[in-house]
Amino acid sequence: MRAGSACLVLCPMMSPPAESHQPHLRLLREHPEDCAYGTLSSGQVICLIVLLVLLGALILWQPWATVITLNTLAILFYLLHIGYKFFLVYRSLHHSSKIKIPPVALSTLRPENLPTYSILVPLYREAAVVPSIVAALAALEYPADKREVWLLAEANDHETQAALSAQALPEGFRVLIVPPGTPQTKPRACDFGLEVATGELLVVYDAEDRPEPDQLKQAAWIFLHSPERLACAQACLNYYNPRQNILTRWFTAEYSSWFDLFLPGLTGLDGPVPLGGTSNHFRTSVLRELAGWDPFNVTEDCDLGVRLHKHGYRTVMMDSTTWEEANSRLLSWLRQRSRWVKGYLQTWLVHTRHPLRLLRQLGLPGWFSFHMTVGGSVLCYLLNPLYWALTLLWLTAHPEAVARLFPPVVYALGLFCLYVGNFVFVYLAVLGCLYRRYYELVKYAILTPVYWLLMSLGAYRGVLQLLSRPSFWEKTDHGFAREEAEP
Amino acid sequence: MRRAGRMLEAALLFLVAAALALYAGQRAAEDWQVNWDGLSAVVHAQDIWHRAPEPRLTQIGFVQPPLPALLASAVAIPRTRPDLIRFLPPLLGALYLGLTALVFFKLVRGRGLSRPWAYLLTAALVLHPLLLSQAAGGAPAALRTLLILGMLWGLDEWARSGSLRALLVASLLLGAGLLTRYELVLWVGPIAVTIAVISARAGGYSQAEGTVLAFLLPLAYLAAGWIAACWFIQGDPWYFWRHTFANSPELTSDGLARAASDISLLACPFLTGALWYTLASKRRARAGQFSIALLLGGPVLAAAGASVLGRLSGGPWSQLMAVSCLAMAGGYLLAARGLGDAMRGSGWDLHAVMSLVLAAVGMTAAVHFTQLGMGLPRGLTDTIRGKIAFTGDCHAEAAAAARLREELAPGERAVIAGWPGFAVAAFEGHLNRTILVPTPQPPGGDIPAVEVLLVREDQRGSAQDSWKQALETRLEMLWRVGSWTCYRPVPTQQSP
Repeated sequence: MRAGSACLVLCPMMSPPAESHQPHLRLLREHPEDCAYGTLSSGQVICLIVLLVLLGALILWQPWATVITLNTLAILFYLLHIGYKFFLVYRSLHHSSKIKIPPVALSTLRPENLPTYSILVPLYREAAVVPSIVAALAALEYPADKREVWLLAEANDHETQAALSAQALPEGFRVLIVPPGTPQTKPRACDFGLEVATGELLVVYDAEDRPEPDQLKQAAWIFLHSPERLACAQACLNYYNPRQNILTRWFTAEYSSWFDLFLPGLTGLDGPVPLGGTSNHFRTSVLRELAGWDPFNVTEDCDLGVRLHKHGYRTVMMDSTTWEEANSRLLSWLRQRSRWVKGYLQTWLVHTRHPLRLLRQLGLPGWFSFHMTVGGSVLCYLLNPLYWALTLLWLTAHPEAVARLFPPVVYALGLFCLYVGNFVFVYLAVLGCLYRRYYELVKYAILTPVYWLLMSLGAYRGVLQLLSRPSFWEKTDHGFAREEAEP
Repeated sequence: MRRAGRMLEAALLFLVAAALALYAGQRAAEDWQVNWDGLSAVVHAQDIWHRAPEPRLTQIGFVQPPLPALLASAVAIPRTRPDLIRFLPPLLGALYLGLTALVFFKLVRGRGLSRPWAYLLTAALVLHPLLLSQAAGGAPAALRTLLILGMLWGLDEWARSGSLRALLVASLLLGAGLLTRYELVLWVGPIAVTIAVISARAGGYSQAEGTVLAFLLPLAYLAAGWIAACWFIQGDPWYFWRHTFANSPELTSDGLARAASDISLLACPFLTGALWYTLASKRRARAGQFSIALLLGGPVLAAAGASVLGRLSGGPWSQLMAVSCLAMAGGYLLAARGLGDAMRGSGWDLHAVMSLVLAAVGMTAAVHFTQLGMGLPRGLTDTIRGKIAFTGDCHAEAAAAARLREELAPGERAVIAGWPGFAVAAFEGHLNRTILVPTPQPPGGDIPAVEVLLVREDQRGSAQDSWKQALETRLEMLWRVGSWTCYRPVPTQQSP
């Protein structure tokens, strides 16, 4: 096996990659059970085989009873998922757990008391946006002597390196060329960044990000006034091009609902938070303790959020926004979504290698939240097309087989899921728009079921890719946004 | 007060209000006084559970709005002796009144009123003979008042604080209210317009559009779900609408004039109050104006809507059922607002108080002058003793049921034609062998084969002749109890 490349199955006899002394392989070295180097553990493989064999036998022995049982389980899962998401959002509407720091409080922060900050910006094929990210980060209100900015360029990305050379960098901005190696992923670059970071606090921004100017100060205030077990403050993410086309409108509705309503609800319940890809502010010492990011996981942010919680640390949401570019091109959006789904699946599989240990580490509510948020979301994407097809089939042809799948009680529950569940998820998107004051997007949010179809497409693509190229990072292209005024 | 204390307080409040309704309701039921709508909901619910050979979920009020029957299904699970069925609606009414007291108390406390004042206002609401009568009879109107109270609070809260949760709650509760009385759809328009105006003032057209859509979406979804259910199960998407209005009288010009005068008289007090409030207080918080605008717009649009439809379901009596719920909920909330302002030291809101006084006086006057003949509430003492309003005497139905029981041989079936035939069927106790026809006339289409026909004769038309014609037979009268006459069809001899 080529050093550093990932595989689907992690076998105990498999030796670690030759370059395991490198910083990005610390997690694999120190906590291999938390690393997605091998997606499935040998125990998981055995369980999977036993399950498949058992299922096959049951299907041969009692085909209808087995399929009806599976259908019932799926519908019970839907019920839980609908109730859980609605509960979190409704709770969040009543009392948002986002931490809002009034400007008066920020003004009391004395520069000499501020912690030092490291800002990591992984850049890969981002030459076009180098000037804008430099400008956005230079605009951050934080004493220059208290912050360092690490622009992380890949060794084989000469174009971005050239753009960085041509750019006049402000004080405290440095460029780190990430040595060549695999997997060539964002978390790997961040791990190299973590190695050189000197700040007490650390934040990751993407190349196209535009954080609100006082975001660092807000995060510093939160960490200064919180107990040590608070390890991460996640800022809200939203888009600066929400009205570009129907895709960006739907994407904005989804992000608004996720970051403004769902995640605050989750932190309010003290559940493990699947962090967003950028604008997560950490205590650097905790990141080092946890061996940084998992370079083999393509949603390293989500994975890190779960690991923080497993180790007893907590995450909060802060009321500050980083504006990003919404993916406006369908194919690029599908690639991005596939990666997210693949990463969520990786994360779910990695952390369920020891289910009982996970339950002990997260506690029952956290354990339930983890399954609903990380595994449940993906399962929903995968199951949806199946049930849409069944509904369509039933409405058009009334086949007896479909009727047989739904005995009366299952039918009633299924009908409830269809009727109430669809409404709940559409309305969550509507509420997200209203919360963000994107009033003109409400009418598009009503059409989100079409967007769900795209999500399912992306999910199936992600699953297939997990089987073939588990750690392959599909780059999201930036620079296609039409500029819009912020709301 | 600690959490446990608050829980205990809430439990006691609920129990006292519920016990009051239950006591009055049981006294009325002992005198065979029933609220027909309440009893109808229970009978529908019984149909769901006990109609053999299989439970008839599809019976859930495709003609009657379904929510009261759905909620009544909880008390209808155990099979009740027919002569005790009339005691079930007060159980539901007690639940509704208990919840109303709880919700109102919470709202009033939220308005900044001290505990004694909150108790006083809640007592004034619970002891109001109109609401107490509705609850004691188990009338769906008691449920509707509860829902409207919650809806008005939601709208007021949204207007005050912009709370999306309150907006969602308001929309869902109005949707639920719609499923207790379809005519509430006429309130959707004015509420949406008011929301649009308030939102547009705050953030222009796009905010108005987004907020109104967010408010209407749950309602529209609920309505669409109900229409779809009618379509899939009954084969006609508008089944519920057609049948709701099928038995209401055609609105003649005389009827229209009468209805318009009744409704205008009922709406007039609110109109006057609203005018006072709006004109005299231009700089007031928009929330107060909003509540008033709601009270104003509803009845007026209800009248307009009824005229457009050309029919009234049940005449002014039914209009009063919707208006009174809104008046009770809105009026008391307004009083709470005024008192809350005063308690917070912002002084008495003269405009709110005057509006309330005008509305209350006007309502009383309107009811007095129109003399709608509805058995309007008597005093509080009488109401508690079981002399409750909005009830009818069901002695005749009980007696008819007893005779029917004797008359029907095993395997025989009866058609009960006329309203409230459901009561006869319920008291008779064998829902499986009775076929209900809401009017004394035979239904269109297939006429059911029947051994016994029980017709209410004092309702429209010559029932006997219509049935003779429909059955192509002659009817032999067996007995008569009150307005109910029982026949046995005898086939005419064909001449050779």
